[in-house]
Amino acid sequence: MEIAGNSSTISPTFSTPTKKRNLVFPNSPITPLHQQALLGRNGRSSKRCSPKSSFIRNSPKIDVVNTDWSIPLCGSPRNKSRPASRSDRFIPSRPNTANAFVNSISSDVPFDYSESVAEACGFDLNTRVLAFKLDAPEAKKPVDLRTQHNRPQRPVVTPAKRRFNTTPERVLDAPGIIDDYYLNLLDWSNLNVVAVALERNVYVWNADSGSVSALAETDESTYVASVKWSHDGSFLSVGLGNGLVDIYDVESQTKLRTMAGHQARVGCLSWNRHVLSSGSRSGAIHHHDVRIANHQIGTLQGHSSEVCGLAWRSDGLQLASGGNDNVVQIWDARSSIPKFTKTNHNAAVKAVAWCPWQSNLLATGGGTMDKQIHFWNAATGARVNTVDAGSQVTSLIWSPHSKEIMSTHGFPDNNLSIWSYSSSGLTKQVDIPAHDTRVLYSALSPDGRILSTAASDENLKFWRVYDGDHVKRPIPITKTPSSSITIR
Amino acid sequence: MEPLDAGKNWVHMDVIEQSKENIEPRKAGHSASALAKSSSRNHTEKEVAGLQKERMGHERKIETSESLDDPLQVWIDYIKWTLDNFPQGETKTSGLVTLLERCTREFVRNPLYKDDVRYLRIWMQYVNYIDEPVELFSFLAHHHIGQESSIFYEEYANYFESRGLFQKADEVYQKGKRMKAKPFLRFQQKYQQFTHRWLEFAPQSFSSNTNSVNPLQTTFESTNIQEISQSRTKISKPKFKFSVYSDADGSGKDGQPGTWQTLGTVDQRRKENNISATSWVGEKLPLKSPRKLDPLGKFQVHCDEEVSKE
Repeated sequence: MEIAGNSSTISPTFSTPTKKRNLVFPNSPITPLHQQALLGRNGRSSKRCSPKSSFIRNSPKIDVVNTDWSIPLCGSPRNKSRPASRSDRFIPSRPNTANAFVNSISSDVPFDYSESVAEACGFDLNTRVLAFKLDAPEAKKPVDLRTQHNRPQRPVVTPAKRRFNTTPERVLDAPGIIDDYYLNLLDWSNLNVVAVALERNVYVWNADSGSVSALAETDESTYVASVKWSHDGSFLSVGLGNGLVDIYDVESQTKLRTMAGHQARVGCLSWNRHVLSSGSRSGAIHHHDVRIANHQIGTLQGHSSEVCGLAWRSDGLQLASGGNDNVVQIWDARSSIPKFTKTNHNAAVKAVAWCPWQSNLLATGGGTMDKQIHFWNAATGARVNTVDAGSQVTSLIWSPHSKEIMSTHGFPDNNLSIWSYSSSGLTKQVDIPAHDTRVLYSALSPDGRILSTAASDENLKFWRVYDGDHVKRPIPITKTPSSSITIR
Repeated sequence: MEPLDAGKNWVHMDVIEQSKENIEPRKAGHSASALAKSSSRNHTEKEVAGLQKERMGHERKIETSESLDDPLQVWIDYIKWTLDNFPQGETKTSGLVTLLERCTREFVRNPLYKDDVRYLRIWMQYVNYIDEPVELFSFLAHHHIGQESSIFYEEYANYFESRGLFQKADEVYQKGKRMKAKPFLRFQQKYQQFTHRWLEFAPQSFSSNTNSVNPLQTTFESTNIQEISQSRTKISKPKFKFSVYSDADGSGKDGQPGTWQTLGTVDQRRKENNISATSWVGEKLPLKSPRKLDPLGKFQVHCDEEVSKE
């Protein structure tokens, strides 16, 4: 506050002498400094070492300022040293020297001199000398914080997305196909021949040549409950509603033999080279060696209700069966006691599928009250993964080309789903609304690219689920189909 | 009816268990005796012919039902027969959706059945089979079918609630309250239960429930007449851009409701999205990669001397 008071008191002192000296320097900017020097002299000449001021108008604060100035000057005994001490101690002395210089020569030089001195000392001639603090230097350019904080993020390079066709490539008519969860009425052989059972008949469609033939027709007191091709595509096994199992030769269009043994309908079949396994409504599983007369070489009695899912592993060492008793059984080929019995499903297990690229991996799907897809390690019996499919699972098909699995569903969604499989879990790739009614039967083409599905809306649809050349991973399609889903 | 008559009318669950995966889950449930009857039936030709014969009987009754006092009952009996004999629900053989469509379209403009609960229940069964239930409820509101019945608002709200749209479900209940839906006591109970579920599942949306503009207003108001604006400024100069009138309150006024003659069947509405099934002969589906070969080679099947050997 004192310093501020000092700066405020100096201003009126400067203004008064300016009026007196207008005649001497009318346009000089150094006038206030000059007057200050004159003020000092008057004080000393009138009274020597006297604290009182001769100016009546001055306030006591100004006296304090004068006292501070006069005390060291009074302390010096010599008159000659006074100007030297003034020049050393007070900056206003320099204009005094400039003033003398002006008197002798001209008025332009002192202005330039004082300006250069002000610049050297960092002064601004238009501002107060005794200000407490200089203003902060202004930035030459205004800082725009938005440009710094709102930098555009680098675009993330997204991998090529896979496109799924949601429209069937082919739709064939399937009149009279039976709507029954427990039957298996569709199969696709390795020779590109599709077999479909429609009530009492089995029709065989050669997808290479386009020819169709009625291969089998049952007695009118029964119906076809299951069809299954042998691995080489030469023989078709047909399970009937009365418990018989027929073997047909496709090339000669004849029935080779009939094998009895079951007391109830045979709803599922599975080949293990020359051994055909059949599952019955009574819960029994029979092994038939089709090469010999006494065909029944084994009986597995593990299910208390109908066997609706049956699948041999590709190496023929293990057999997986699912039943209407909600149980999954895993059997060794040389044993009649189940190796593992799994009761995690809460509904019938029809969908049973072995993984083609990991031989110990088994996938099973539950029915309406379960809707779960479980994955099992068939060597240890551990459940390695589980996913809630949301609908009744009617079949599961592993993809031979990539680590994916396809599932067909019934109540309530009637859809076809494709899942990406990894050890950490499953990711649903696409949901295709396949049919108006339950998708009950499905079969994969021998090249693994087309999946056929059948439902009781009497449509047999073919879905191109994989499209690409002979590579392990399918190449993304460059040409955009008319209807496709792009998913991340 | 007679509990002492042991073994005669009882239904054994083992019979139903045999076909449990062929039973479509229904809200109203299934008749146990009908399930046992359909489960014991197999797929032989005689059974199929028997069903077809019964169906023809129902069709003949429908043809002669116009002279009856209550023609709806004949349809109700036919639908019940279909539901009992086809527990799978909709299949090509059962034709349930087609039957429901025929019955619902038959009595749309019949004033006798505007507030008949039986007729409304048939519509509610049909809701499960179409892809846009909201349109069906709008259609019913447009034709004043079941507007005083509690079932209409309960099913409408249940549809919204099943999709997590509690706000919309509440608006449906508010509409039902204004219409004094009957039976009102059950309607109030249903609304209270809905409020509890709303608090349980989505408390944030319940607490932030504000009375916004009723989106159902457009659906239900069928007598609103549009006001014709009298003031029309004369355009002095031809302009490139014309101005769009904006309402002061921001709510869009309802236009003149047109006549909504028919809802359209499921097949009609999707016929351009469906590929019709073709016959098999001539169709080809060649493969791209070579087929897999059996490493073990071929084997011979033993031929029996007699084909049907026991």
